[in-house]
Amino acid sequence: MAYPTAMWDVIGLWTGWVLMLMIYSYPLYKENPVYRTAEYMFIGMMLAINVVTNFSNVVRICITPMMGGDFLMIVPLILGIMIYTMLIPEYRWVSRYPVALLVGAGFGLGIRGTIAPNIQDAIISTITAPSDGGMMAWINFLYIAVGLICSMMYFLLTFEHTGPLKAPTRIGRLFIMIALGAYFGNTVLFRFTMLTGRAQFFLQVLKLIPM
Amino acid sequence: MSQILKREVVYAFTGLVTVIMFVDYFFFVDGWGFAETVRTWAVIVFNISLGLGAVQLLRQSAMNIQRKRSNYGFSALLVATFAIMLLTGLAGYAATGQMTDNAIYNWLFNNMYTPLGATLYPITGFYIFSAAYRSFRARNIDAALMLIAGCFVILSNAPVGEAIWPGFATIGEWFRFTGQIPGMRTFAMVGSLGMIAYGFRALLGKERGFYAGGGEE
Repeated sequence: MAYPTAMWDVIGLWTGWVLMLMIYSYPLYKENPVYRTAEYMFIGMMLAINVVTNFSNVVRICITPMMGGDFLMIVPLILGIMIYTMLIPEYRWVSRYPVALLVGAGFGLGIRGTIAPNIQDAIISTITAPSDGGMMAWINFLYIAVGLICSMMYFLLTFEHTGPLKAPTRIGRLFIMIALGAYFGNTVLFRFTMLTGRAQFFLQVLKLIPM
Repeated sequence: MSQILKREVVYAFTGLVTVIMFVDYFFFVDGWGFAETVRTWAVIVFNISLGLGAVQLLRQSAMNIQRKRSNYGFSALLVATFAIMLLTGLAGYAATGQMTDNAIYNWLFNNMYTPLGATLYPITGFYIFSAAYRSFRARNIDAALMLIAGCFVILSNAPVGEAIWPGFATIGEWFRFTGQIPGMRTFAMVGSLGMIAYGFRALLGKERGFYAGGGEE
């Protein structure tokens, strides 16, 4: 992408640059009105974008089919409106029905969607012995199997971690620490990659590096 | 009667919806499209309900402005930004069915919303240094293992790591693709089991915290 030449594009680029500095005034200095201005603008915009997106979704999934003769679509529309009774204390209980639909569907879909990938597949992957790969594959296989069993035992919260449970739960804790360390390392990298992108944008707008 | 409507019927409704989802998935009822319909209903209700957050925030901001509470100017700014973005988005939507078909909306989205979003998210990058310092102090064997895993992962991805010692890349890769599997798999399994247990408690009406007022009114 080349450096823009059209007036509104240049103004836009500099607006983004100034807004970025307004946000970074918080970590680089302290909480201040300039930061809060940018923050409130972001919240207002995000809110509006979400409202318009949800409105267009409702029109597409509900209103249009209803206009086409699918009168059953009046049910979610009424349920959706019922949730706004949350704002009226004496009729607040009415909002429990749409919440019940959301919770019921959420649990149903969540549970049925979690059993296969998170439990069944995880167990199968753990107990399937490597077919090739030599010695290292077997070491990894044993590491994962022992690590998973010990880590799972660490979460046995109905028994005190003493006696025969003491050693495996202690080892399980170490495996968990390794996972957390790796996860934290990935998080640090990801955040810094994004921060690098912003630093690049900062220099690009100033024409110090090519866009 | 009203107590039954407020509580028992609501719990039964939650259970009924959950059971519909289960029956569809676990008992493979051919051609039974009702679960799909209920799922679509849930998506619609979810989309409508998200507006509740906007209404609450705007109500709060309007009250701040009306009562001239401290920093009410920020609330006014929030409402103004919201109004401009909403009107331009709806204008684009009304004209062509696409909210991106409005020049002002597009300009605001590309030059204000996107840079703000891209800046706010990595703001934690500034604090992650101090968090890393506090987490990565080898006070005991647990913290030492966390430190080793974290450092190897970072150095395997950062170009400087491989420049110092090529082994960082190999060991770091091992931590990323094998070393963290037992812990991460455990989190997934434990989280899933917890969710199933919570779901069944909700199905039996023992969990009510998510209903407005906790289901106690």
